[in-house]
Amino acid sequence: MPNFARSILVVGMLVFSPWVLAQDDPGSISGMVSDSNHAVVPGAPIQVKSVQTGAIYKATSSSTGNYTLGPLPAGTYDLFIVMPGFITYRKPGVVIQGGQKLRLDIPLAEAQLNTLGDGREFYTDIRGVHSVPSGPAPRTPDGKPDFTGVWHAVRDADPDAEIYAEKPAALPWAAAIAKERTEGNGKDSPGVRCLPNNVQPMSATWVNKLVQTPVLLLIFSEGNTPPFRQIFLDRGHPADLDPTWLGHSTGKWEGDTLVVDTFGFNDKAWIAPGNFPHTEKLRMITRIRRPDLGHLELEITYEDPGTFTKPWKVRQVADLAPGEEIWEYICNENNQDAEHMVGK
Amino acid sequence: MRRVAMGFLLAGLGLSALAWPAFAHHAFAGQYDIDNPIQLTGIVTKIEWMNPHARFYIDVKDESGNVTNWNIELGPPLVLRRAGWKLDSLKAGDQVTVAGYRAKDGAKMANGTKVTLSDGRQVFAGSTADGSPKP
Repeated sequence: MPNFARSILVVGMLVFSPWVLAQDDPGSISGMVSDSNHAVVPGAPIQVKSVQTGAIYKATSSSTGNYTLGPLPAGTYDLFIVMPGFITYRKPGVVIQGGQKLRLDIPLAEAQLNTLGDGREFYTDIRGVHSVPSGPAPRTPDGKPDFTGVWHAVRDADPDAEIYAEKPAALPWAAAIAKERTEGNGKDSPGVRCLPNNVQPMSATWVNKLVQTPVLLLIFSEGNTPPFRQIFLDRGHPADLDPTWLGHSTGKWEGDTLVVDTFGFNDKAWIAPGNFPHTEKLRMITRIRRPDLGHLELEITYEDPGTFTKPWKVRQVADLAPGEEIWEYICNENNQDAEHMVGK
Repeated sequence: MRRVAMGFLLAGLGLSALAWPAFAHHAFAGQYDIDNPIQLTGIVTKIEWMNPHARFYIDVKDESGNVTNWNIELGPPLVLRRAGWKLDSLKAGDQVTVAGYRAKDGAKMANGTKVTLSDGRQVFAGSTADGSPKP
């Protein structure tokens, strides 16, 4: 056979062979999502992001825990599940050949051992989206948005923030401490000893209550130590601030946004999320809005040249909790845990 | 095999730089051992409806007749209360079976994941995972 004819034949075989067709066929990933007790997990949001194109594909596990992602173009994908109550699942570099139907069963691990009253159900509710009444944000007699109300624990404004949000540019010493704290299950967290857990203005674990007056915004977080924050609206910082766990907060209105400047921290509390340390140079700017009746939005910027190489923004939202009320919580009433914390 | 797998899971997947601390007071995995599940049956001797964790204590008799008092840790009262558990949901003298995980440091302590009364009723069966109505 002449070379030319042979070439035509080879090309023809390639073009029309099932293998070549398969490269253009979409593939899929399917499987079952289960928990650490091998029970199925319905409603798990599975997503993959194409390494080549950045395209994102999503699926949700059914009532039987099964899911199918597809059709997926051949390529390499990073797979995630971010689900309240569970440790975020990541599987980078999943390769899908053309036409391939990949089976991938996913075991999720509970973020907490499922202790009654402090387990998966609790954290699923806390981190989840709550139904809220609709309507415009109420205003005070002087025309400012009124933040007064009882609010659920704050959550990430973007449910996938853990995957896609801006990462903190931590200095090596701070990154090393954060890693050690996370790996050690937070055994040395100040909160274990009933001290303030973190510096953020509203709790991500407990119900918060805000009370606003023309000169003072009070934030009560029922489980925090101490359970209150004072944000002064009628003054600046004192000149001779002594460093404290939670610093000194002042607020100024920029239109409908209250800009809170907190300064004068000691270096003892942690930064959440991420379990980062901080120094006494920390300045925390919190921009608070109430875009409607049912939501409060916070944008927190951590500025600490002793910890981060550039400011780090975290965006949060809180849902209104009508009919809810904060409770008393005296942490050191019967704290037996500190002496039993092992860590890893 | 499963213990190995779970240990890997927790070590490998828990290191998310941006994860919220998944605990109110402390991480249960810092104190209790997921590789050491335990089931205890005994008589409730005391209830501590206190913070940061509600607790109850049970006397457990082994095959030789020796009695050990176990300390069972739950969530805080304000969370239990919201989920439907009342101060008197469990009383001294009740016979209960508790499922949970043992303390890592070897103390006679466990966290409580499921508490069942002798008549089969589950205390605090308010979780959707149990498929039961709130008490």
